[in-house]
Formats: sequence, C-alpha cells, structure tokens
Amino acid sequence: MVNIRQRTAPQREKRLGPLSAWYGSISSLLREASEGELVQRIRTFAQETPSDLILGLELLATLRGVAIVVHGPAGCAAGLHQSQNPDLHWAVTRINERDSILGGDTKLRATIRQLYADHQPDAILIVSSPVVIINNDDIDSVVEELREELGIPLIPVFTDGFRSKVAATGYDVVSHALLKELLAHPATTPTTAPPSAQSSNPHVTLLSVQESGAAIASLQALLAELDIASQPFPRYFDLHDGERITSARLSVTLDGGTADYAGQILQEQLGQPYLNPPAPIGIAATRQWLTAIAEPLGRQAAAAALIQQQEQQLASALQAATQVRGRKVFIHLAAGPALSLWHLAQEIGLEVVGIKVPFLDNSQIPALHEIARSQENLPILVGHGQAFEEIALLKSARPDLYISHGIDALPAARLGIATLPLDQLNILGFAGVSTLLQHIERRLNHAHLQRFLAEGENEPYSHGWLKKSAYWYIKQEVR
Amino acid sequence: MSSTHYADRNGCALHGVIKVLDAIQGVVPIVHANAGCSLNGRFSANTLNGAIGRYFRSPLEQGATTLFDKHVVFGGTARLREQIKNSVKVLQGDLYVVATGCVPEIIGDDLPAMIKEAREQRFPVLGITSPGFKGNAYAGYAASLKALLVGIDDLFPKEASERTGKRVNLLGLVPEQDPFWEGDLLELEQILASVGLQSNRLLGQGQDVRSWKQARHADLSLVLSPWGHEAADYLESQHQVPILDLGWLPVGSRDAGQLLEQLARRLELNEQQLDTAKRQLDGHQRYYLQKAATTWLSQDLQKRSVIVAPSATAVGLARFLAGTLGHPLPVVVITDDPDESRRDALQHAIHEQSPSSQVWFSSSQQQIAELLRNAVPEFIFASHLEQPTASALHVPLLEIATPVRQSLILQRNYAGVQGALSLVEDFSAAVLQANQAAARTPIATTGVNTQLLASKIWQERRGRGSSNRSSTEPDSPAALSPIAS
Repeated sequence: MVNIRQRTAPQREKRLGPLSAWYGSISSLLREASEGELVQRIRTFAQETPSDLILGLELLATLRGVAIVVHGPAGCAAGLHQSQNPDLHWAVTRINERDSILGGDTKLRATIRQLYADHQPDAILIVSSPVVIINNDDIDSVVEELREELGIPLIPVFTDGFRSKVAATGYDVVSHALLKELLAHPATTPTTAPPSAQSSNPHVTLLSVQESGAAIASLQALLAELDIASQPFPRYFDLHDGERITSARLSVTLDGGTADYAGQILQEQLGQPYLNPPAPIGIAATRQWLTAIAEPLGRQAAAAALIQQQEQQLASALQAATQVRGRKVFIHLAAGPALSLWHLAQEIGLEVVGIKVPFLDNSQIPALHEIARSQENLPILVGHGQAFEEIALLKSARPDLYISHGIDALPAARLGIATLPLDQLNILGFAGVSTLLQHIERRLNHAHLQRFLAEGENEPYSHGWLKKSAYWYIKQEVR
Repeated sequence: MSSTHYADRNGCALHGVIKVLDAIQGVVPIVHANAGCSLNGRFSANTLNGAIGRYFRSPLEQGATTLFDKHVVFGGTARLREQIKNSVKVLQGDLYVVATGCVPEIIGDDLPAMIKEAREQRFPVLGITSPGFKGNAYAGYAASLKALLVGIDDLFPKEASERTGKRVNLLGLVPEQDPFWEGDLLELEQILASVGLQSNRLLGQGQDVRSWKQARHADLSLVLSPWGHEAADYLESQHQVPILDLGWLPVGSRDAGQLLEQLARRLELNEQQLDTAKRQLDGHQRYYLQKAATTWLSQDLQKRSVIVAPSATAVGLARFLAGTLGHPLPVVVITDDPDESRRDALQHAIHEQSPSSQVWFSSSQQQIAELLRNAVPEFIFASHLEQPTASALHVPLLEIATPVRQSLILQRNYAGVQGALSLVEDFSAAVLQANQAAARTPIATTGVNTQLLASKIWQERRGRGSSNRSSTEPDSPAALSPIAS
C-alpha cells in the first residue's frame, strides 16, 4: 500500500509487480500468473524507452497556473518543448560539470526566485533529474526556505530517470507530490469557493494521466447529462480546484488503471471510494464505466436511460460498418485502453491479431482472463518502445490495420500496414465509437503513404534478427 | 538581466551527438545513459522535423542501455558490454558509436575499456563521452565531429583516397539545431559544383561512413559556424587539410559569390568558370527579385526586422536581409552561446552589411523578449519561443530557428540563391497573412480597436497566474472548467 508521508511514490515494481518485458500467447501469460506473481524481466538488448522524468514532465505541463523548474542539466527539460499549454512557464537550472560535483542548490534558489518574480505562479513545481538525485542535492531544504520567503506552495517532484523500469512511475510521482501538498497544506493552497456552495450536484474526480482535453471533455459531458459534475486529476489540474478533489464523492479512472495511484491515496486518506472500471472505449466498456459511477451516486435510472438511448443511436452505425468486418487489427496502447479496444473490436467485427502494451501488472489479470476465454492464442507483447521485437510479430500476423499513438506507428507503416494514430482523436465514450468506426474505414482504404514507404529497402534491423523469436533478448534477471 | 533560462533552446551535449549520429547512414548509435535521454534529445529541437526519423529509425528505435537503479549502484559497464555485443547482431550498420550521458560519467563507467574490448572482437565500435552537463547540443556536435574523425582514423587508418576532382568538407551546420541544415548543405553542394568542386557534406541523405573516411583526403575544410572549428583544426593538424573559415551561412548571390571567390583563390580554380558561376547566381536572384518587386513595393515589404538565431543562420540572414533587401535590423541576437573568442568575428560579419545593428549573445527567452520589445520591430525572424513576444507586439514572426513548431522542414533551406528566394517567399507569406488577418478584423465597421482588444486578451492570458483568475477566460478550454454550476 502507499504512504503519503513518504518522500515520493514507490516504484511500480514494488506496488503492482508489473511486467515491462514479455512475449507469448495470452494463455501462457495467464498460466504464469496463476503459478504465482508475474516475474519482471530484463532485456539484454534494448531500445530507447521513456523514463519517469519524461512522462512526469509531460503530465505536469498540463497543469494550470503553475511554473516548473527542472533541476538538472539543460537536456533533461527538453520534453517540455512538446507542451501545448500556452501559459506554461518553465526553466531549467542547467547545471554544469562543476555543479554536478559541488551541488546546484544556488542555481536552484535563483531560478525559483526569478520565476516567482517574473510570473507570480500559484505554485512552483521543482522536478529532479538523475544527476541531482545521484548527487543528493538538498532540494528539500531549498524548498522549505523559499516556501516561507515567497509564500506560495513549492512542490518537489522527485523523478530520477532510473529507479523504475516502468515509466508510468512518473505519473505516480507527480500524483504523490500534488496530493501530499493538498493534504498537508490545505490552508496555503489557493481555493475557489467550495463546490457545495455552487451546486447540489455530486462531483467526482476523473483520474487521468494521459487522456487529451477533448477526450476528458466528452466524458464530462456524458456525466453532466446525469447531473454529475467532474474535474480531472492530476492531468489538467488547477490548484484552485484542490478542495474539489479532496471533497469529491468518489474518484474513477479513465484508463483502466494507469492513473490508479491518486485514487488509492484519496481512498486511504479521505475514505473517498475509488473506482477502476474498464477504460470507457467501446459500447460495453462505456456502459460499465457509466454504471459504476452512477450506482453509488443514486443515478442508476438516469444512467440506464442514457445508455439505452446512446446504444440505439450507435446500433445502425455498427450495422452499416460491413466494410470493416473481418479485417485484422493489431492494437498497441496502454493496457487498459488496449483491453477495452479488444472488446470494441468484437463489437465491430474486427479480428485482433496481436496486442502490444508498454507494461502489464497483476490488476489486469481478470480482464486478460475474459479475453482468453474467446481467444486463448492471442499474442501479447509487453514493451515500451522496443520496436525490434514487434517487427517479426507484425510480419507474421500481417494485420490490415495498426492502432496506436503516432510515435509508435512508424515500424508498422514501414511494413506497408495501414495505421490509425489516435493522438488527434477522441475514442472514449459512445462518441468515441462512431469516431473510431469512421477512421478505421478511412485508414483501411487509404494506406497509400504506408505502401509507398514499404516499397524498397528500409529496415534498420539485420536479417539474422528478423528470423529470431521476439523473445530472444528478454531474460529473467539473475539475483 | 538575470541568468535564469526559461525554456532552454540549446539542449545538451548528448543531444548534439545523437543528432550527428542519426544523420549518417550506416552509423548505429548506442546511447549509454538512463532511459529517456535520447528521447529528450528528439524533443529539444524541431519536434516535427525528424519525428519520422532518418534512416528509418523512429524516436523509440534508438538502441540504448537504459540504465536502471541496479546499474547506478553497481556500475553500467557490464550492461554496456552486453548492449554492444547484441547491437551488432540486431541492427545493421557499418559503424557502431557509443554516446554516453551524464549518469555513466558520474558513476565512473569505463567507456574506453569497453570500446577496447569490443574492438578486440573486431566490432567496428567508437565511443564518445558526451555527458549533458558538459555543454549544449552545439558543443556536442563539435565534440562528436572530432571524435568521429579521430575514431575513424584509428579504425580505418589505411583508407585510400577515392578522389577524382577537388573536394571540400562542409563543417558547422548542426542537424536539427539548425532546422534547415540538410537543405542548406545540399544547396551549398550545388553552389560549389558550379565551379567544379565536389562537396563532402558528411551529414544527411546519402552520407555514410565512407564520406567520413574521405574527409582526411579533402582539399579544404569550409567552416560555416563556430562549431566546425574543432573538426577542421584536427583535419588540418593531422592530415594537412587547409581551412577556409567563413564562420556563417552564405545567403543570397552576393555572399555565395564571395564564397566562390575565396574558394577559387585558395584552390586555384579556373577564372572564367568562377565569373560564369557568379554571374549566373546574380542573374538568377535578380530575375526573381524583379518578379517580386511589384508586390514588394505595393505591399511595402521592407520591414524593420530583428533576428534571433544561432550563429550561422543569424549572420547569414542578417547580411542578406540588410545587405540585399535593405531591411533595417536594429537587433540581432545570436543564441548558440559561441565561445568568447569567436564573437568579434560574428559581430564584424554582421556590421559589414548592417553597421547600425546591435548584436547580442543570449539564449535566454526572457532576455531576448526584452531585447525584442526595446527594438520595436515590424517583423521577427526567430524561434517558436519568441512567438509570445511577437503576439504581444502584434508583429508577424517567421520561425527560422529551433524550436520550430509551425512547419515541417524536410529540405527547405535558406542558403545560397535558392535559399534566399525561399526566405523571401516565406517572409512575404508571413507578412501577407498578417495583413489579411488585420484586414479581416472588424476595425472599420465597429470602430473597436482590435489591436488594443487583442492586447488586452493577451494580458489576461499572461495574468493567468494571478489570484483573480476566472474559468471563463478566452483560452481556458471549456473541457476543463467545472461543470457544476
């Protein structure tokens, strides 16, 4: 279990026993799980993979009203250039060789003061890098000292780039830092009026670490039809909404579990019920998700009516989608969305020929069992990045369509497979079903660029490797 | 002015090294660092260009040791040994290059020992020590060029010259940190070809380990920025390849012609061929600038401009914009933090064509914002980081420096005459679009001063951090405002 008094979140390895390297059929995976815990593996050849720092920064950059200081060499902060948040102010302490030996706390102090003087943010988040963690720079005392001087929350976020093999630990580190602040210093956190003063409707927290603003909005709209108010956390969190989070009726994940950490803490510390239904992708999963929220809030009847109405609207669209029926798809997404999408594929009539997830943990075992009942030989590949393992699988499975985020889609595109990148689409909720239907059809019929890329020599991998099993470089760690 | 750096634009040494290695066909980088370092390198520059990956590698297909806690505690050399051995089996390549990040440096991993061991097994492997805290991506570029040349001398000492004509090494344009590097190199190759010279671009499409083996047999190294010196000096001292130090990117027919003159002098080229080439460059540029002239004059495209860019681009653009187009340039900011010893030459090169320009050296977003505000420009040539300032000043901005966020750059370039004409096209498009947007605003009909209105909206945006924010601000996505009320 988690302890909010700790300096930072535990590794996912310790908390959830995740796998970050695995390949085989779903039934062999379940066999291993039934014999005890899933055993973490290592790779003796690896490709680049994101760290907790990268995912943590990506998440922090969506926060409202805050400024970010990355304490480390200049390159550690580069991920923040990806941010679409026009109001984000960020700085990096740019520690050099000398600082890496003597400590960089002077630069950290100066940077925090300057950011405050220039922009008066509601709070400043201080994000640590591998170098300052190894050198044990005393971030805590700088924070304590300047917090008093500046009179705003200074929140240390202890990412380190190496502690966990699962980059999603970065999401936990961010959630831990924010909740520690909210729970320990409610008085100094700026607040808007408590929601109870504005409305009698129940409000819930949508636990989100990777969904887009549009996707969250579509679920908020769905809940609003049931007179349920909601706010996202930690993604897009506004420090002014702190009390909304701590006084929410319950918290619920949008991704089947990756965002679980904050929910666990809110449940343990405040007794807020924490729900982890399947990610609301597809008709059945969205139904389950809505029902799970509506029940404890006494909105079952309204939810049932809404679900029935939405399902009726979708029925004709599903019937009309004859073109895509029987086509083969490969799904490469986080475990929660990937497993929900498998069910949606059944609803549409697609054949799933493989699933790749960045990591997998014990909490997904029941959902995997459900899939295994109808497709026990479904190949499952676990790896964040690590396309070298995927190539051989794609070559033998020969999917017609590859569904993933854009950054992961190039290896498939190089093989001439139609790709459906989800970065710009909202696939959550009932609205997501029709969006997906339209796009699946379009991408299947217009894979011209992919086919062009596939003509000619374009693989970086050796012929020897392409003949080997994807499992070749995955080993059990010798302890 | 403070020393705090907002939104650092120059990345770290490791990023520069990775960008170089990514741009050579047949080179397989092995990043020896914790997870995330190489991915971060992709984000530091133009996130659109390169997202697809050169030589068919996507951002996540870079081989890397991805060091974890165990390695940090017990050392990462064993992990590196394993990764080198398996890289040779998995990834096709002619040369495998280990680039190390900060963590192996701090924990004291013995890179030379690992390289030696791999070489004993006849793997073509080199190592570059490139911890991020040792400098920015430009410094990483400079260090990696030299390390590659030294390493290739060591690995392939007897490589014979394949030379048929006279050949010039092009040094100093930094992949991705100079967003137009690839097109600029191709354009320079064309210009040099016009006087019968071959180019050794070393980086970009078709450039491979063979190009690097040939660098030592070149007749000259042409240095195009302060970051090309280290490699040029090495080639001169070890292989007697003389240096022509231009120090910046030639933009437009005048500077391209001057470059050809200098090359002709140094390499004893045919006078007549030189004259013809110069006349052609000039004639080409004059023809198209005449074609532009009607629009140029009727839309009054002479703008008081400022430039914010790394050395090569900043000087090259300044000389063309002031010297050929007659743009007043009150301020030029050079952003790549070149060594103090190189700064006078850069300043001098700008002042030759634009004597009244103030030349500043800064990479800090807020210092640059202040310089821009004080300069009262009508147009800004800069990076995406200057966009907020440009919006606040209601001035159009063309992204000509990293980070670039508004366009996908493949081989578009601003070097030579073709590049100068592209620059004129891109600049005009930005001004004309801004003029059209201004014409569409309801100033005439409603009498509302939209500039003031826009400025007010902007100030509200900037003021988001203050305590009196409301959830109905213009830019706050409806998605995220509470639905409760």
